Amino acid sequence: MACGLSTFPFLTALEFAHACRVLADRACNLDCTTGLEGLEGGGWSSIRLVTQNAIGLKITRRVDVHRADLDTKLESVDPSLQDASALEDEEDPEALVRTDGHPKLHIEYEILLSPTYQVPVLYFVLHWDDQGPIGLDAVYRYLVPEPYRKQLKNVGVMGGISFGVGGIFSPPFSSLPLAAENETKRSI
Amino acid sequence: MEKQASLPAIQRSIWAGRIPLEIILAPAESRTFDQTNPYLISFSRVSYLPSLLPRLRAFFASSLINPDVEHHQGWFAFEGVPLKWHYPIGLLFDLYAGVDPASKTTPGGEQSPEAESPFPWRLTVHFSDWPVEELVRLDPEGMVLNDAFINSVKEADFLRNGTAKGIMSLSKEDSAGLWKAVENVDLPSFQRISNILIPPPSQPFRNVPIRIFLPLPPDEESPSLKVVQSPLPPLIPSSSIQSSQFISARSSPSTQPQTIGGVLHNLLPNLFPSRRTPVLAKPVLHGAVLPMSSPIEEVVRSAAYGDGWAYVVVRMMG
Repeated sequence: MACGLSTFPFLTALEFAHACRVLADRACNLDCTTGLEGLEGGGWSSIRLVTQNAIGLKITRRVDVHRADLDTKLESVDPSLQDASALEDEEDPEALVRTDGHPKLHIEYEILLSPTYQVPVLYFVLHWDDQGPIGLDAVYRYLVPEPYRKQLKNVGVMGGISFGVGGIFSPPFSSLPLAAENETKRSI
Repeated sequence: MEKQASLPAIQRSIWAGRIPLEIILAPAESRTFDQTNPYLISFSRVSYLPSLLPRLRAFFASSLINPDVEHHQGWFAFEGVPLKWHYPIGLLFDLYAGVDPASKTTPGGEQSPEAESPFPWRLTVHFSDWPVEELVRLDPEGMVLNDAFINSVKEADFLRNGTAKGIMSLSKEDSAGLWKAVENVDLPSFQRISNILIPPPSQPFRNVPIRIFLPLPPDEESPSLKVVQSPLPPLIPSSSIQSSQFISARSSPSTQPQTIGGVLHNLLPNLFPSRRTPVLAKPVLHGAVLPMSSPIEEVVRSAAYGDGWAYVVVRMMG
């Protein structure tokens, strides 16, 4: 169904909800048609329409982090993981199942209608396995390709990606308005 | 005749407002369990709790079971509820302390004789067991807090002007200075920089940055905050206002200032069946009941927190 945007360049809540449903349906059709390859081919673990509190889309993705990145992470971010890694190197004859010891980076993308900007905003929430969310540096490091990183960080006083707390689905988030800031879009 | 305070005078009073705090170290983290002396301070309403962490870490150093904890690992709780560090303490107090707000007829903070005094406000500081599901972690340099603050400033700027160019083109010095002014409760420095961002009084805001916090449900464990936000133009067509008493010199004959009562009635009609009189609930800002007839733009120009937002807490009556 084609529908006009009554408050262009902004979106009303109804228009945004309609767009979310269409996108979720298309993702579901892709999934049904091609099996999980459809979503996973794009690196997504899941996509779902969320209707609690506010309408939006939640997309999850798991990323295997390169060993070099992981080593740096272990040194700088979480000393407890260093201990865990060291323990796993010890011989344990009774252990039947072993993990590879690599923490997985989980990324949750949430597309919501920002009550401030009145446009869809893409939120990122990153965390390691069972750990709490991690900050903006990790967003630049793992989500922004290196050639664009410096350019995006230098947009305005706070960079092209904002860090905030108190999102609708999750407490801490980094966000990127999808249409509000032309300067940011150009940087991308 | 009642004398009205000027907007700058209201802002000066708000920035001078302080809340007495009594902060204890979490007993489970103390060598003396609950016998550690509390830390007492009169803390500005516009300040943020993490600003206290370095001195709290130093004050409780000899009592900590784990002497290796760092100040940025600290977090605060009130009656077991982790406090959102990205909100100014004045808002947290209005949300959680349960103090009767001040109004024209009753001074603030008064309770019935049998009720326990709300002052000082008793908080607990923890340096371990970070509540990962509820709070984002802080960093040693304070950049996480700074980024969250500037993001909030940016949203307020966008609403006021329809663009965030103001904050995005602010110099690094002024951007850092804005946060420093809030940290130091330095109103003159704050005004110098915020005047770059805020349109002059002759130029109305595009929208008014107000967030409304709904009452917390009782008996709910670790309740999440419910916040209402909607585009709020400062002027609305005259026909949507019942009375002409709010016409200001700035509005044209076809528009009138939008009031707090009008906003609450439109957004929360069940809680605010009247736009003029609080019947079931009352709006609270900086520990005081907001008059329903207050024009929303004047409220924000005089009584916004350092990030440019007016955080209005809805308190049930009776």
